[in-house]
Amino acid sequence: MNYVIAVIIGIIVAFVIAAIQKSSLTSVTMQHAAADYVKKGSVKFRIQTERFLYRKVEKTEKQQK
Amino acid sequence: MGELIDYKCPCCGGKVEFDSTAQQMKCPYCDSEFSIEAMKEMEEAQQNQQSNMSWDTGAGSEWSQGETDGMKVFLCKSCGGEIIADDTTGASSCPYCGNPVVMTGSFDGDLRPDMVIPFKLDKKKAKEKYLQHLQGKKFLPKEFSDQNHIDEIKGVYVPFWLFDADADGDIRYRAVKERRWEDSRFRYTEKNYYSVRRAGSLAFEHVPVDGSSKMPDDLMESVEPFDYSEAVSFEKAYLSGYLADRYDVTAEQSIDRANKRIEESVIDTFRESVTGFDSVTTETKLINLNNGKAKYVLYPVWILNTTWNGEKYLFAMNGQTGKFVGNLPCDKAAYTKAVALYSVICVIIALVIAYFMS
Repeated sequence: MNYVIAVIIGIIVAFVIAAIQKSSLTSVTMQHAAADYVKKGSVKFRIQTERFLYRKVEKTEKQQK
Repeated sequence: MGELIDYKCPCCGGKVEFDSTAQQMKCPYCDSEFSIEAMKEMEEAQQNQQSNMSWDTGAGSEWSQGETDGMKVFLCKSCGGEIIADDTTGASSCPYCGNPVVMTGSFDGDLRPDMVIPFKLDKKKAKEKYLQHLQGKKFLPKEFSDQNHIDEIKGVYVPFWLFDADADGDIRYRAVKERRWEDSRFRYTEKNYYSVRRAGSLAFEHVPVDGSSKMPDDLMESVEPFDYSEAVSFEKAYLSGYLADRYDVTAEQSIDRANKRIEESVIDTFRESVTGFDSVTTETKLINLNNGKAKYVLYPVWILNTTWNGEKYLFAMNGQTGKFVGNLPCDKAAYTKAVALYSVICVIIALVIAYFMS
């Protein structure tokens, strides 16, 4: 079973490497945002709060050998 | 009679009540407890507010008398593209599709551009950048770079609408910090939930949106950014030797695109300031734009056409910065061979690792 998983992972990694190299052929894309056009020094926060709400603890029993 | 107010539990959605023992709000269904302040903040976040994004789109101006003398309009009968050139510049083929154009008459004056960034790089530089663009592309068909011909290189002033704005954002997040540990019998996961709020402002200037429907929007956005500090007041003389694209997308039609980009930037900037958590999800966002102003400008772009295997390929170079873009074809046979070779190598490595691990 480990060897089957190894073969699958090997093939996936091969496709990923080829896809990265192929992506260099594409250079035309819509811009996601307008980060280049933010006026320097204009970012000002007037509220930055982090308020604790509640806590949850989950526990799972270990498999006893 | 007084008004009953219901608070919903953020954890399970049940109705939260005040617990007199704990002196806090408590959910009877999941036993979660919250302070009064925390409940108030969550209540405020639920109120539905409308983001306000509006613009002043009175951009451009009137041409002065005689200013448009000698400017001609050329029409492409194939794609409908219209380009403007002066007396001294003949336009023989369409920069968008490469087909012949015909002169239809004198330019009778749309809006006069507010500003222009003059061409800084020449045609020779555009050719050099094109050759550089072909270098190092693993799956580019060899014949494409060997044949190496460009049908046309044209310097085109592309119309853009530029938007200035002050954006004010107020975004609330649900964030979680996790802690894991174990003892001899159990594995524990502790999750601490936080309500995070970021409110503030940031200013945007000269956000460009392409004003020509014939010039592909993704191509024009790919050659950004342009440095507006080098823009000058428009004079007809700048057009000499170059073509000018005629705008056919109004500022009002471009607003949505500018809004979208500015909104995404506000979201990204605020999100980057929320750090130290294992997961963060946005709950509500409110973005207002103030003092929206639009300008009509011409930006310099070198457009290159080539044809290969019956398909047209369009490239563009930023005429100010030299940034070169354009999609290239993929050699499917080379790609398939590479995938097969990488698969063999990666599978062998993975099998060796699996052997030693077992």
